[in-house]
Amino acid sequence: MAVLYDRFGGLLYSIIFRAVRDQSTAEDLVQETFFRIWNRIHTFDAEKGRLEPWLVTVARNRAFDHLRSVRGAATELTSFDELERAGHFAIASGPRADHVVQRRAVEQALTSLNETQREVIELTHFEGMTQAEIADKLHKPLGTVKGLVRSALRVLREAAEGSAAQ
Amino acid sequence: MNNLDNCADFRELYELYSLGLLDASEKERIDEHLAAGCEQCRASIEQALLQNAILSGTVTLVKPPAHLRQRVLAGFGEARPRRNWFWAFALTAAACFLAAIGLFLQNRELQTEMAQATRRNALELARVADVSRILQAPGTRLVTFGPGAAPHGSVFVHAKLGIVMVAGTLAPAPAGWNYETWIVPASGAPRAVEAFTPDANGSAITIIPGAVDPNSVKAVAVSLEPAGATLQKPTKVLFAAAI
Repeated sequence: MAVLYDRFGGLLYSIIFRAVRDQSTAEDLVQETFFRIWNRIHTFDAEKGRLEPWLVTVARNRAFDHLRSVRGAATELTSFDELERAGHFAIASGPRADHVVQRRAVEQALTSLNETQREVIELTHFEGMTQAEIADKLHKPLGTVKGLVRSALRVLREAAEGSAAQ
Repeated sequence: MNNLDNCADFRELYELYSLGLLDASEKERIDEHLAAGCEQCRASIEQALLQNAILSGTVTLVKPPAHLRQRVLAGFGEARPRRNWFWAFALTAAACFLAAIGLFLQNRELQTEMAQATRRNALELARVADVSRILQAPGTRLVTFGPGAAPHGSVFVHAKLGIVMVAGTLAPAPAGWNYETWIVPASGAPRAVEAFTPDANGSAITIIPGAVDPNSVKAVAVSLEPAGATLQKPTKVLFAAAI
């Protein structure tokens, strides 16, 4: 676990801290994340999937569960249980370099979004807000927010898929 | 979205679906579609999970506090409960498992050794996995205590599996004193269940395995007790988390 923490601890802490914006809470959630990873590492097959996307997903879900709990939204500890199965990441098979290339492509695509598109992606992917919550926060119609989210995600998706195909 | 006619329409929503951020009506339609066994959409879900992970990975890196490493790693074997036989197994299993993880990350050949080590230690791991099982079990309730003040932490309660308490910011016990975990029933005297020693960073994890009747248990409490004392009631109660 020390090796795992040394390699990914900083990234997982950053993702959680970005969401909850509180050091003490982030530390608690990082600890919970490593418990969850520890309990499930035996389900991960290194020949069929990559570790990092799975770890990132587990960490982000812990942060989102916490935020929804704080907001009073309906939640339970296992709300992401099904979607955290390591087997879902089997399609991520391939050299680590692919992942780095995809991340760079997505980072670049993020800069091509307009300010509002970037903001809605920040709110969905880093703060776990629903589209209705974003509509309230930005004082925009829900339909407008949905359009913004979908168009932004389309740009990012095409950037990742395009880089993976090269 | 009122016009979800085919898989391509759904594909637009899978990132939000896998983040749990869709409207109830949209989620319901996708659930129904997936339940019908659409393999193309199952593959799309996996692609969306990867896409979300890549996007989350673009976060600006923040250096975690130095003590967090110790705290996380301490959670895998440094708490010292009274049941020596349990933690003898736990420490052995944790050490073997940590070694296995290291091998796993070094190269594929060593990963095979990790799998073998994991199998060899399956029985020991089953014991130490009690903590994780409670944390992830459906129906586990989370109670936090002392937010923003010392000490603070979380209590995970599962009616059939037991209780896990994760505490932080605990000062070292004074010389000649020990930390003790208590179950406080709705009526009757508190019951001492677990002695523990916080790690160097003031963190500790205790597990109270077994069924918990939420109607008969009022709280989990932590106290300081004189070393060697007969534990009949808490001496110096530090905190109690109502469950």
